[in-house]
Amino acid sequence: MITAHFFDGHDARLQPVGLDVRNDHLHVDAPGFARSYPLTDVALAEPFEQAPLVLRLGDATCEVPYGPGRQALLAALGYRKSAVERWQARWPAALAALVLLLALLGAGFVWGVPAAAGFIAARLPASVDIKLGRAALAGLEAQGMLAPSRLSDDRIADVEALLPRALPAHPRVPVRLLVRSSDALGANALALPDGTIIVTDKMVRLALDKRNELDDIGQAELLGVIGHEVGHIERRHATRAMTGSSLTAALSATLFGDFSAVAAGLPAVLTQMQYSRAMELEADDYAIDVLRRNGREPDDLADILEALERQHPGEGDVPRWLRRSMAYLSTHPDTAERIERLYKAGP
Amino acid sequence: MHLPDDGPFDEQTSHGLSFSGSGAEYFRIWIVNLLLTVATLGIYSAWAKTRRLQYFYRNTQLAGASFDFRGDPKAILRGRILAVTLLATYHYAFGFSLKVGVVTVALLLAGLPFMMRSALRFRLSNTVYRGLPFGFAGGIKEAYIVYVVPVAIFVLPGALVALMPGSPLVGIIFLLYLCWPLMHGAMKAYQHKHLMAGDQNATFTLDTASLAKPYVRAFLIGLGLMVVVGLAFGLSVFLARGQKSTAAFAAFLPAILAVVAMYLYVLLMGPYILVRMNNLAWSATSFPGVRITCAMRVWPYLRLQTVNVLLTLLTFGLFRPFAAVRTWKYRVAHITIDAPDGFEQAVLAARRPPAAAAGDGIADFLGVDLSW
Repeated sequence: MITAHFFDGHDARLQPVGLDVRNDHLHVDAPGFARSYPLTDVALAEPFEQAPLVLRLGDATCEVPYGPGRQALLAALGYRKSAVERWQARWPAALAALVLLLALLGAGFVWGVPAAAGFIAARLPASVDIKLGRAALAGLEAQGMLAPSRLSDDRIADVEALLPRALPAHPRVPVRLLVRSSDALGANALALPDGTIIVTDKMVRLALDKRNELDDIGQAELLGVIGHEVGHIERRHATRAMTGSSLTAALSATLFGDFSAVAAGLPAVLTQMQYSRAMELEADDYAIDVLRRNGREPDDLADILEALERQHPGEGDVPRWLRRSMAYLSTHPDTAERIERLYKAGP
Repeated sequence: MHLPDDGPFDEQTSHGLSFSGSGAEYFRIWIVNLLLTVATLGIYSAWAKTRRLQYFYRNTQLAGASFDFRGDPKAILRGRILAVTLLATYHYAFGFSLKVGVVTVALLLAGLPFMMRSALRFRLSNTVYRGLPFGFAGGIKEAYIVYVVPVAIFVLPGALVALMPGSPLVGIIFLLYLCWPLMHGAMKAYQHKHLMAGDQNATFTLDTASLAKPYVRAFLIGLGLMVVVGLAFGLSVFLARGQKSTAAFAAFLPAILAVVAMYLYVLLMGPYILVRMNNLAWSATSFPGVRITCAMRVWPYLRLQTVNVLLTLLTFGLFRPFAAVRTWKYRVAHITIDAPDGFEQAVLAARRPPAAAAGDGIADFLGVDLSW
């Protein structure tokens, strides 16, 4: 006989009762009344260490206060722990859950988010790209980062003439090339999601020879740069990177948001860097194809990357997402690796 | 036979709430919940929430009986899916088109007050004590009156920025925040006025303005602090005059301290207002024959939360379950239930009410405070 508190579910009266399990029935006995329930009708709520046991008997409820009779009652009721209850009952298992959780989060951010971002980005309509691209260009212009080119019209025409040679037979989106002067961006080239490529004056000057002419080598160098940007556009890198980072941000906020903004921001930055590295290499591969198609070698792109590396232009004013996902700058941590890779791909 | 000290058999008139859980036990529940939630991409979170509430409720005892949560995890999951869908739509609506955006904002304005009320009903009608559910009897009309302005503050700035970029009207919306104390007071009053225990209606004796008083006091403390900060800055400028550069640092110490004081003020006012409003609201709530007194104290609660935040940060979040238990224990320990004619006698008046409705997720997801 185990003492318990009985509530009939119709009023709030607490009735002290005795519980007994006999012949597959739970017997509830009190001076005033006696009831019996088949064990199949007795629902035992998940027991916690020190909380009263809760037995649900249809409308009625029985609470068994924490005490010595508890284990005997659980055994008599034929209680078996569920998998989750067994898991959370023991410390080693709980700590294993912690390790698993960290592994799962790591895998999710390293592989899951890029895969999901690729999946989502592939299903975003092209109108999203156009909107993003226009907004990015308007943003750059509003911040005074782009000004009309100071190069001669002939020179601009020379550069623009390179674009068709870098394009595939059937481009994914119409691509246009703008030559612009920019102090903030330095020697640089950007690919906006809508298919706009921006090449800065300084980048063009970097490709000029000693007599300030755009010779074959200079043309090939710029072709490599433009090819790299076309690669970004063809592979839709900007949209993918932005989908990925907003996905990461949303996930981080869901998981960690309520206790630490710092923890929430970190994974987003980490994955974004990972993205851009993989994407830069992909765009380089595309540029190598473009150069080969035009009878040149990847060395030409490597040469201008090296020239960039020596330049150290200011990059402080470039918005972070733009810098990471679209620009390749001399201070990019992977530039040395990329140059080496391009030389290796050479003849 | 085990009997708690404040057992039901003596005709005691005053009862405290007790909590029998521990941080260590809850940590294991929490970590398994978290892992399963992540592994199922959030689907398990509904079951995790049910287990969490059951853990806290069942370990909380009053006059020989414990509380319980009987919500259906599937209902919670539906609520959460709805909440995620709404929030995602709201987030991206204006990116698609202006029309989609306006429709979404209109839907949110029309739907959220209703959902807030549903959330209260769901949570309370699934909270059980002595075999009887609590309940919420607040009307729909009043829900709209109380919630539509706070909801507007939440959804309108985004809409206005999209509709008329650069317009000064956007700033005016933020002026509505000045009325936040009254809105918060109105929400609390609505939540408490319509509480039910079984079929017994709560009596609530405070009006919105009195509930907003902690904000006024916090504001006055802030004003006082501003004066002190101003004086400190004045002192700094006075001391710095004619000083050489190295000695100037010492002179600026008062100013630095003043800035630190302002930061602390902003950090501390949240818990201060929470404690004071909770005390006011619960102490003004009573059921026939049963009075509730909530007597949380500001400084101990602040100390508790400061330790919680620091340890949570230092342990990369692993202290969180311990912090949750500590906070719950503190809140529970400062509630007293008085029944002058005897508790058993008083609760006998309550009967089972007719069945109630559902819809919890949205309010939980939006972080609306429905905890008591």
